[in-house]
Amino acid sequence: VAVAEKGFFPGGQAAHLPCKATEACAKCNACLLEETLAETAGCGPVRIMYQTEVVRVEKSGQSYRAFLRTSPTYLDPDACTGCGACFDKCPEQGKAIRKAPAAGTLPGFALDAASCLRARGEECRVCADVCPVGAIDFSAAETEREMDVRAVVAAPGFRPFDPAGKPRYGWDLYSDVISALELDQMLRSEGDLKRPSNGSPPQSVAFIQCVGSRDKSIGRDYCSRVCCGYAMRLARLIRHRRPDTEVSMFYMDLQNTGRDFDRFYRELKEQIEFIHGVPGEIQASEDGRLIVPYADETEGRREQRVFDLVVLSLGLGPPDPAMAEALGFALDEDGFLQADPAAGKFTAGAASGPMSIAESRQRGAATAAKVCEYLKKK
Amino acid sequence: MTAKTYILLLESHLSAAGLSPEAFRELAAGWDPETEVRLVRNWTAENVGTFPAGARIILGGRAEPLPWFNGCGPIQFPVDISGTLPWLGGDPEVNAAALLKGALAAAKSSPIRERVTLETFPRVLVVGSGDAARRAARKSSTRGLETVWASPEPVEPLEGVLVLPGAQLSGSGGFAGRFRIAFETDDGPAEIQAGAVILAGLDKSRVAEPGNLPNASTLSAFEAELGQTPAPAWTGKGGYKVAFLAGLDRSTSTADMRRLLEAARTVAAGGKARAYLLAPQIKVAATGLERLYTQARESGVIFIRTPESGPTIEVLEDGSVSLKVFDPLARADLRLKPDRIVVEEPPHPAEELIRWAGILRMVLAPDGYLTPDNVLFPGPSTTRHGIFAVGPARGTDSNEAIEAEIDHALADAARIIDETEMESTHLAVDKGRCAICLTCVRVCPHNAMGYTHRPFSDPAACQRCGVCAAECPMDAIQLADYTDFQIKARLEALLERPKKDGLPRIVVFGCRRSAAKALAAAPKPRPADVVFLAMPCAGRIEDDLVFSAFLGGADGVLMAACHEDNCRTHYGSPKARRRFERIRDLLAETGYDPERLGFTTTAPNMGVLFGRTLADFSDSIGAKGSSPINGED
Repeated sequence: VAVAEKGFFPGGQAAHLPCKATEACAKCNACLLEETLAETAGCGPVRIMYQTEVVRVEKSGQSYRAFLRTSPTYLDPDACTGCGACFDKCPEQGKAIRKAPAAGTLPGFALDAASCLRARGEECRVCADVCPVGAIDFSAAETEREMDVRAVVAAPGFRPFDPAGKPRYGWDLYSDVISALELDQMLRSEGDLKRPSNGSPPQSVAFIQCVGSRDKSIGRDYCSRVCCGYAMRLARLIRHRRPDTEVSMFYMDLQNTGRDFDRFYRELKEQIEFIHGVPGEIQASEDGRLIVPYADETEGRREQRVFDLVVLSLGLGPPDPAMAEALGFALDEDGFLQADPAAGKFTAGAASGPMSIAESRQRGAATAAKVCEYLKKK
Repeated sequence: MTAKTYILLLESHLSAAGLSPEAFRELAAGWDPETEVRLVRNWTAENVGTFPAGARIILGGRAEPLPWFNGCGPIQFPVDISGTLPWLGGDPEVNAAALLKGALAAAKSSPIRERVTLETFPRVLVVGSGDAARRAARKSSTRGLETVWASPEPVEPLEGVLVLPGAQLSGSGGFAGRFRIAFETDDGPAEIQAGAVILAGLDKSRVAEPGNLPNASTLSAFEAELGQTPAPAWTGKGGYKVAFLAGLDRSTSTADMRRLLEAARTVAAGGKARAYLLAPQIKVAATGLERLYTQARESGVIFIRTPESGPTIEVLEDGSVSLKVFDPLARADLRLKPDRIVVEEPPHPAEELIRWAGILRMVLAPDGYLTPDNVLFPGPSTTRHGIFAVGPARGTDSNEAIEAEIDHALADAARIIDETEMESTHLAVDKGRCAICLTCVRVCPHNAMGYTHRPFSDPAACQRCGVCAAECPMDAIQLADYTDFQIKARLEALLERPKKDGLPRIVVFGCRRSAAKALAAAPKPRPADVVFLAMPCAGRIEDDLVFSAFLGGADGVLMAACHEDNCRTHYGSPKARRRFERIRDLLAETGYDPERLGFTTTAPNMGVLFGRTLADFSDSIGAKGSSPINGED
């Protein structure tokens, strides 16, 4: 099994998500990634090629020929021992030498050429000199190769909705309007919640659901299925970490988040305010906070509320169509990849439609079983 | 056969610890001249080399064993230098040496691993009646697995499957791969020997509350009516009105929402009747449902948002029913007098499941189903290895999900049946100490212990959590790699180091699944002197270990467990919390400051937060000064 990973590290979006547990597990499944990666790393016949893109896949007889392009891997992922000497010494501090998001997995580090001083013409070679195993080589070049494969599994993941596509929420105008994914990353990498504008903890937080979901006007005629779950878990986490924070959630319909949804929702209603409806244009107040207008249904009038932080629950969009074309996959009416198991084309993860981490895992395992069956039949 | 011990160390870690290869070899020879030191560039199989069977390998600088050696002989002791070293205060050279010395002592006292062969019963047993059970039995049989289907209710025969009709579960014995399940059947008692069991529950659903109203139909009865030819002729004043009531008792599942939307759309599109769908939330989180919702609206279905408790329902004197909902846009109550009310039949756990859980010795989830709501027990996995629950036994009602559960269960079942050779658990029961009180049999979270003359653990079912070893009142059980001696050897080696920098010495007993991984991911710490000891499960941390840490010189001890409901041992983590509270009480009784013992929960992906927790705990202990056991510094 050969895996072409476009990025530096395996794990996809889930590798950047934090644990959303309070004292009790929130059942988000993000923690399972570390374990899955450790299991995969030990799985002999799986070979992962990093920084590698599939340029195209051609049918050749009963199988396929894949054309792969690997960008220069200045830090050899197969040689890296994860000691972190390069990361500690890099003058660009965490930007040029990137640390793997999942702990204890190899490669532990990667060199992001775009952020490296050498990209700006400087003759820095601190990392190469400090690496005890000589894993860093600046003369690495782009490589291309071809590979004959019998089945193709497309798992490029989803693309989050671009919040600039909903200008009324002012994501590109106000630094305190962030996406839920940005909040996730903040909680994972910093372990705490703060307003990007001034670094202080917010006193009030609004979640806006269905940004880029269930919206025919922008061609998103589907529910992204995971946002109610992550937003409600994040809301609960915020209330747990900082019980004084006021949290409101603007929603259209709350979707089931798991087996204990009814209990979870009932408990959360005691802690945060659920407001039915889609807010209007967000504006900044004089003291730099965010004014969110909305229609109050219980009072039947226009209202507005002021928040320190607004979190947009961005919908899950289909992957880059160019990727589907390169792989030779058809698209469904929403632009997600369609499997063709009879022809040896399979999908895994959210590339075939929005799904949770738990569902991705389960469907991924089912896909693996189907691939095995397909290979046996041939 | 004497087993040789090897120390494998990354060159880079050695240099990072400030040790020369020669100096390290000398140190190792000082501990044990028989030990072979191999310095490696990285952890690839070629670099690491080969080892004789039974070899004991210390992996200096790894948090996890090397996967390609698993189950094929050598015993591995990972010593996480990169994750642990930054947290030990003082001299890195002394620290690395102490870590490895502790590992060496632990390795030398480890028994040699044995392989055991256990015959499995090549048979899958499906228990339950209804569609999910039939599908599981059919799929199992088409996969080439010998299949027995025990159905409490009469069922049609199924080709290639031995069917036991009227089979009531009456007893169970054995472990994964070798279950013996007893039934009372129409033809008398029967015992089935099976490698794996799939519980498919009973097809029972409950009619939502308003189902007893006049004019009310269940969704399935209404669907049948819609499917009739000729189409039902409905008449009513001002057109026949059908009100679909959803989400009253509990949230509507997406599978039921799909059926409701389809039925409502059919009614509205027929043009002979008007369809109303009353629900607190429209559940559209499934493929194509948002589109179906749009189509239903376009077909003329009227959607009315109700409070969570549903509309106000009144039965009028003439026997008709009135539904009342406040309409926020009109600022008035909206009243509807439907000619027909259609209610859902949400799935609910059958009472039988309680009895099944008891007989099969498995944990019943708080919602009454047979799979725990715990992400570490994926899909149909239950708290008993080799027993699976699908469909109505775990509250699943979508066909797609039930198919996936059956596939998952059958794949695992086939693996369990095929796996006849395995490593023995090395759960040693000391015959001299064992009082046969059977505490271990009762507390085992995996129900992996049985007893004949003495308690024993089953190698296939044992998950090596060590809860039994911690709970045994006679200290008669030892878990390999985590015996009292081995844990204490590691602890002692690390506590022997001289204290430096005026930092409090903190001992952390942490779950290897969560806390050990979080530690490895934690960023460079504030100055600290944190001795981390990985435990197979927080449930393994026993009083004695905590007291040993305090007596050995710890100024503070922290127990680090997984979050509630995220414990691979199911209740190892809650057990650890209760034990923490008890030890605190014991400490207080002796006049020792109970605040010096802490408890925390963490997840493997929360390195930053865990690092902060450790540093904060270290600070709080530092503020208390040195432990009175250690005297004044």
